[in-house]
Amino acid sequence: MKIKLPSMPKSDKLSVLLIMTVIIVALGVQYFIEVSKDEDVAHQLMQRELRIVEQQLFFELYDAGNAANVLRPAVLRMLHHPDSLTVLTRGMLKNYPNVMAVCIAFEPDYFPEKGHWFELVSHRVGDKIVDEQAGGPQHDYFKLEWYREGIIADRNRGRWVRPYYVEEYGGRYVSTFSLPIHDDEDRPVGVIAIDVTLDWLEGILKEAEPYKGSVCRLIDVAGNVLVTSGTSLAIPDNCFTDSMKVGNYNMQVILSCPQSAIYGETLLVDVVMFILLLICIVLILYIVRRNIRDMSRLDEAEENQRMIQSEMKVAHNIQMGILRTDFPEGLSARLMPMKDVGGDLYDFFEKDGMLWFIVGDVSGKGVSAAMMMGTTVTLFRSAVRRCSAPDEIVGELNSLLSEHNPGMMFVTAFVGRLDRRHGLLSYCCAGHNPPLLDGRVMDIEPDIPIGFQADYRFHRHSCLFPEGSSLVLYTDGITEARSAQHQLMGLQRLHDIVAERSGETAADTANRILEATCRFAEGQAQADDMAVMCVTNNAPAQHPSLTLSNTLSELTRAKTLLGEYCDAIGLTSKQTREMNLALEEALVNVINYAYPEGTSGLITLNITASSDADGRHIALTLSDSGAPFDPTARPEADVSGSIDARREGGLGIYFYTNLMDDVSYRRSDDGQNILSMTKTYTI
Amino acid sequence: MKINIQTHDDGATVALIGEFDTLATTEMSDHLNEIVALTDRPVTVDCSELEYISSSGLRFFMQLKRNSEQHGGAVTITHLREDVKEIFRLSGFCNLFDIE
Repeated sequence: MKIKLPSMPKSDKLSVLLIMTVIIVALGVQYFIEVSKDEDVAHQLMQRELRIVEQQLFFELYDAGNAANVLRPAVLRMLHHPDSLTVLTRGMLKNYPNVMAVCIAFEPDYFPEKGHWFELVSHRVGDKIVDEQAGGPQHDYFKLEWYREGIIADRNRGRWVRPYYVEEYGGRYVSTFSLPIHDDEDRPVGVIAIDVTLDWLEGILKEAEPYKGSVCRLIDVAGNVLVTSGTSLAIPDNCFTDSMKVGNYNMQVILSCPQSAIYGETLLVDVVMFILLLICIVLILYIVRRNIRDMSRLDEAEENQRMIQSEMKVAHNIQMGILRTDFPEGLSARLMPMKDVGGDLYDFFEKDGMLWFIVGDVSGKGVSAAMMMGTTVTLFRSAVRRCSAPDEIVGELNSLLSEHNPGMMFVTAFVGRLDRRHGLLSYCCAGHNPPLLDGRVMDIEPDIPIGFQADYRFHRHSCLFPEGSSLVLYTDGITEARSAQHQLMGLQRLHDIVAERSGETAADTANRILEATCRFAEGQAQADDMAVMCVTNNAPAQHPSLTLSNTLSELTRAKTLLGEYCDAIGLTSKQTREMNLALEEALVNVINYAYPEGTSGLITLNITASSDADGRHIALTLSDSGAPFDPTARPEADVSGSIDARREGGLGIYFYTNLMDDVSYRRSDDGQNILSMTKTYTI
Repeated sequence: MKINIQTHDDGATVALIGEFDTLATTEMSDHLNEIVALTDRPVTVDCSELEYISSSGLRFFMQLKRNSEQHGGAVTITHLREDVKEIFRLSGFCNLFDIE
């Protein structure tokens, strides 16, 4: 975990510093409270320790005093045998190992025979006990403290005199307990003095160790250290010290505890707490910063979303702008993208009195579909200007859209061409939903969708589309619209809506379909775009006819019209081809021979059809105002001979005279060659 | 109409696709002449995708036949569709060609 403070805003840095300061101050205050609490605790603890030590010392030393008290009545009883008193002092030494010497000193001239001084002493020399009479001018004990103090001391409590250093006891501090002796008449007799070494008290002092490194010392009133629990006599630095007087013994116990030991734990706890808090702060900062980053990322995402939405709005406007709304009479369309942009499309174009139109649906949705939609519409507009048949247009779109199509996107489309005058509708259906023709679903075999296979050959179909006919084209967004109850709109509902149209304009029908679909799917997010187009024909039907010039290129127009008409009235493709062959052969003859070479002239083609119980009757009439020419009068071509015997000409006339049921020629009064051909196909 | 010409060691294979009408014979005359020139060796004409033929188209086959007879080649027509075959039959061309 790494916090980069420098990357924070200045105000944040100040806040962090402030928080740190507050925490440090709080910890400091807490530390001092803890320390004073520690001191109180230490004081209590040390007092308790001191009391224990004092009591132990008191009792130990009391023992010594007690020994003197035990000795005193025995001394009084044996006053008449002063020399025997050494038995008592010697016995005392034996019983009390801490007693270094026992002394009984008498008042001046108490035993006249013994002189002015008489002091019986038993003391230890090594392991032995030596008795002596120590008093004399050189050892004038009357002047010594233990005696002076002792003789006037409380008779029951005696007196501990100041401890003193004695070289001959191995350099040890010794304290002397003095107890006065009085006889029955209450006259002072002398003093019992017991010298006690103090070093054996060390053990007691050593037990007083409330803290590690504590030193407990016993000192006299002058401050001399008598016994210490430590190795050094010096008082350690930085100590917390407490003291207590030991009974009435002129001694004090002093307990010194190092501050480090007293405050040590508190300090350690505080340091640990400080570190933990620091870690907490850093962690909190990290989390807060991360959240802020996430929030800013969220803001960024929202901003992006807004930008995308506004871009999509623009895209929507562009896409809607691509779609033409300047509908000609008899054609209207509506489109509603599911998202802002979609892949449904429609377009139309008028050329040579023909109305061309396309309704399509790009696979996929959203932007990619919208781009493909735009491309498809643009390509359609380009192709429709050059092409002469719907299948040609679809073929061109297909070969262009199949190239470089890594996304394998495809377009289903229905391309139609309405010849209003002749009531003839030609179309090519590339995998698109079959439209409704006069309210009925067209029975068509669709080709594959556009974009799959560049060299696919699409097929053209035709149907009659006389005055009053209607064609409703739609995309699957209409039929697959879902209601709140998850029902599909379905073909039947569309069918029902279309069935209600009577004398309605194309625009009304298209509107009604879209509105009904939207009503059906109200409030539901729809899965697909919706597009609908309605095409009607209000022109009274005429027999198909063409006025052609005498060039071979006119052949295509004538054959296209005848082919589509034959297809529209229900001839099979074989029959259609047969009719076309007859037309071609007759027309080529007229084009080539009616007018002198290099001059132009007009040729009229009329197609009529009727049907009765015998079948469908189709009649073709070619009229021209060229030189009189009767093809029926020419000798029939010989089709049985060998190749060498064959003439190249004559085969054409042979074909149409043989393919048609009847071929007749007449020269009209206004000087026209009129060639009529009829054929009947049984149904 | 579209024309595919493939030449190989044993001769050539020609595929005629679409409608072989009068317009096609004028528009595709270069390719058609090229095919005629190949008939000094065996030529197979694949008509599996030939949907329509008029007398102009048949005239091309006649040239093909004549040229191959003059140069010792041979013309084989394969995969004729039924209604195109009908035209061949009607014109007596079935007797002139090897039709498979």
